[in-house]
Amino acid sequence: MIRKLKQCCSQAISWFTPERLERAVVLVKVCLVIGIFLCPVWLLHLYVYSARVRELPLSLALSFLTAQGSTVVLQLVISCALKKREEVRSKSAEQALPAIRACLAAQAGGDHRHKELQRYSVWHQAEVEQCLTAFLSAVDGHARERLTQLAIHLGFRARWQQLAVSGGVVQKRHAAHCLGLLSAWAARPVLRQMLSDRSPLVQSAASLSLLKLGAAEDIEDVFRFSLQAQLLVRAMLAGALRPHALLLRERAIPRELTGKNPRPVLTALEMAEAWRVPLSLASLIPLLLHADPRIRATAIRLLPLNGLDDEVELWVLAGLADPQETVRAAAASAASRMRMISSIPALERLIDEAGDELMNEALRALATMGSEGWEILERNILAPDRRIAAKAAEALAMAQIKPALAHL
Amino acid sequence: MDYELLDIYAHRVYFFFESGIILYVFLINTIYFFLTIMAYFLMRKHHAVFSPAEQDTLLASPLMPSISLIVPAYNEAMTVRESAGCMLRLNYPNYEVVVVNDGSKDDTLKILIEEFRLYKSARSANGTLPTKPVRDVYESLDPIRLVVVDKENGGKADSINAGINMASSPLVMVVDSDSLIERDGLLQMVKPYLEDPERVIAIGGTVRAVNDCEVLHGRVRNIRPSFSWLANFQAVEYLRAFFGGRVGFSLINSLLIISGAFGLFRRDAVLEAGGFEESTIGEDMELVVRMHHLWRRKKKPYRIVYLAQPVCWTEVPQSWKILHRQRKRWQRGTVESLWRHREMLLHPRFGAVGLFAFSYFFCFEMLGPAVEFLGYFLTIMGLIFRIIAPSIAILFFTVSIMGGILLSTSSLLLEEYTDCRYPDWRHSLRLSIAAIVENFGFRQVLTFWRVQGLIDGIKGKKGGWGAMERRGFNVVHKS
Repeated sequence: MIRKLKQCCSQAISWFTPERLERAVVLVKVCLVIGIFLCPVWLLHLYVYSARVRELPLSLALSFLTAQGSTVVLQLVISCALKKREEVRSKSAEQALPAIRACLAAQAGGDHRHKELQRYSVWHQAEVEQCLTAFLSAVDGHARERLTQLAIHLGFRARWQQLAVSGGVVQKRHAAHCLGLLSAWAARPVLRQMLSDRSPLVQSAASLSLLKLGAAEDIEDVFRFSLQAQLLVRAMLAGALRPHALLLRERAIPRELTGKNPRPVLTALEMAEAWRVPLSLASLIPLLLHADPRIRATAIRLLPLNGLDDEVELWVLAGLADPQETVRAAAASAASRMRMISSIPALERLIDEAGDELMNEALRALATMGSEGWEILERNILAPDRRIAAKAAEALAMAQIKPALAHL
Repeated sequence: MDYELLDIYAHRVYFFFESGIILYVFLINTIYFFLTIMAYFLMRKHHAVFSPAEQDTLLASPLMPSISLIVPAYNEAMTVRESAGCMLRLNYPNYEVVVVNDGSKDDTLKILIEEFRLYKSARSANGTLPTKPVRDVYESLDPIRLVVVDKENGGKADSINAGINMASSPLVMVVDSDSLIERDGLLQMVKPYLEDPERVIAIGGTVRAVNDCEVLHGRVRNIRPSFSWLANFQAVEYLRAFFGGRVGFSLINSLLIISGAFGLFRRDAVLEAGGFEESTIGEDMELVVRMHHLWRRKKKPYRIVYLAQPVCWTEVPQSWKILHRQRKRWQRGTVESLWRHREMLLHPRFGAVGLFAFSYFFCFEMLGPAVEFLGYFLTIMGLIFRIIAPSIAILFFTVSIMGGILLSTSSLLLEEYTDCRYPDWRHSLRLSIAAIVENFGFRQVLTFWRVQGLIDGIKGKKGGWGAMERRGFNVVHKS
């Protein structure tokens, strides 16, 4: 009995995924707000109108009217007040900004303007923060060090650190961005801690900031982290890690390629492909024999970056005979990029035997092979299969028009 | 004696009906209010647009999925230059624009050919959705990724399908040719897909009224309410519909509408679902409902998401005649989509979609206008013939009209707290006035039109492209 109860409890707990929990919390909040709105309606009906108006519907209507009317007026006032406040604030900020900027410039240049800036930060904290982050992102070396000290002195670093731990997603991202502008010693521990945040956007913001700090160890760690992260984070980091691609090629990528888990291996290959970084044949060959066809396909697509030689040619030809369609398509694409004339017979075979994607790839590859490939395409334009004929005509036209367009 | 008894019974029946309608209207408004408040909490929490630094990183990223923008166009000579230009200037690293000219009778194709230096290309379709014959495919001589498909007239759904066939990207975005997407719209829109590429099959964004806003280089500048009150009423209505309804339904993965003017779909999912349905007038809603239907039936995990931040600006009708046609068409589309998939209604197999969203749409969006209209009719008749007490009439109008005002102003406030596209307080005031005034007359007229649409839908009346009288964007030219 107890075991069953435990089982039920654990099932109930596991049913509450973070997504469902969020929904439940929102629903409770909404019910509370509706309750807060309906309470005055009921109270008005009970204590104000029912005593004066005999008819129940009229009393209810009047209660509703009063509550709704007040809410509408309140909303309108709040709406306009918000705008007005923003207007006033931006006007006052406009006046303060030049002085703050001047102080910060002097501070960065070697003057001591702590007191003045502290005074400004009492009334214009947001503006001081805005200018400080703008300056921090523009300076380096000694000036950055001085501004980092200033950020610590004015309490901004402490605030950002606090936000990094306890704020919402937006605040955490802001904190990560600001911390990444400080000198490495002042921000690194918090940023590394933020890599384990629940939100992928916070993770990526922390990773980007760590990359800005520029330590080689951090770069490799961020790369490793990106391999396990979701596509959004990977997409962001792929762009940011690109300048470090050559560094990563030396040690981090080959190390990851030898792992047993196929996902990081595939992701590492995709990153290398996206950066167009050639990987050594020695590290690619085991992957060309990998059990996972996605890994085989990506590895084949990386082969042309090493240039055409006998060994590469053999592997591409082997790829064209792979049992998996995606691998054959990747091999066709590789053959096309290297203009591998020896692949023409295999490519011609692929036109008839395969699905749409592979057929397209084979035809496009043939279009890059010069007159020998073009002859095959011309023959296929007359093929009875209309799909093949149309795609062959398209590939041929593209191959012939492209140089003309480039000339234009 | 008998007459007296009959009279009493008639009064009771009338009262019963009237009370039922009041309860119904109260329920609709409460649900809308519920959804609006829900949207407030969700938008506050998820208002996580990319920061400029993140945008820069994403723009430089080689891993961003490519997107094909499908722009169906029929007699759009007035706006196609601006909107195609705007779509070619979006901030996204990897996308192409596929404009589908659906046999326009005006100069749409000619303008496109001249403006973008198009030549006849040999490009052929990649997809297999059945469409009307494609006459020619054009591409640009300039280094821009623009494809123009010229095909025989077949309707909007047919044009979108032709565009999907021609698309070469894993993601397709359907955009109206009279709409302007914000520069970062694509980047924002693709976020849910990047977060969950396996499950997310469709993403909808917000559509807003662009009337009288300034357009510079295909970009909406100086956002302000229109000088026309009719356009402002619709601007408020759009806010209410998008912020109020869709955020809440998106939370429980039961979103039934993704606007045809601004929706991102996974191409393989659209092909699997069979593309846009040509025989229905509300092809956007029908596709989304069909996707729910199929994916739930196959028990495949999926998500259909609505995002409030990416905005597509569209010209709303400023003439009553066009608005009348549009609203009748929309209502007919709703009826057709819901009727086609009526199997989902209250069916536990379809989860929250069948139990909540579908039944909500069936009871309130489809039948709501008829009940509301009946409410106005019965109340006025009841007052004239003294069948109901004035207090009942007051209660009805309070629940109906004041409830409507509360909803509209709540949506405006929601916009203020989260998106805030109207920075000037005078603009807020103007829209607030519109939010109040629209409930006296405009809403009732819309209700009547929607009843007409409902009747047309039940009759099974067919229709093609919704012809819209274009005024063109308020384009400013600055050196």
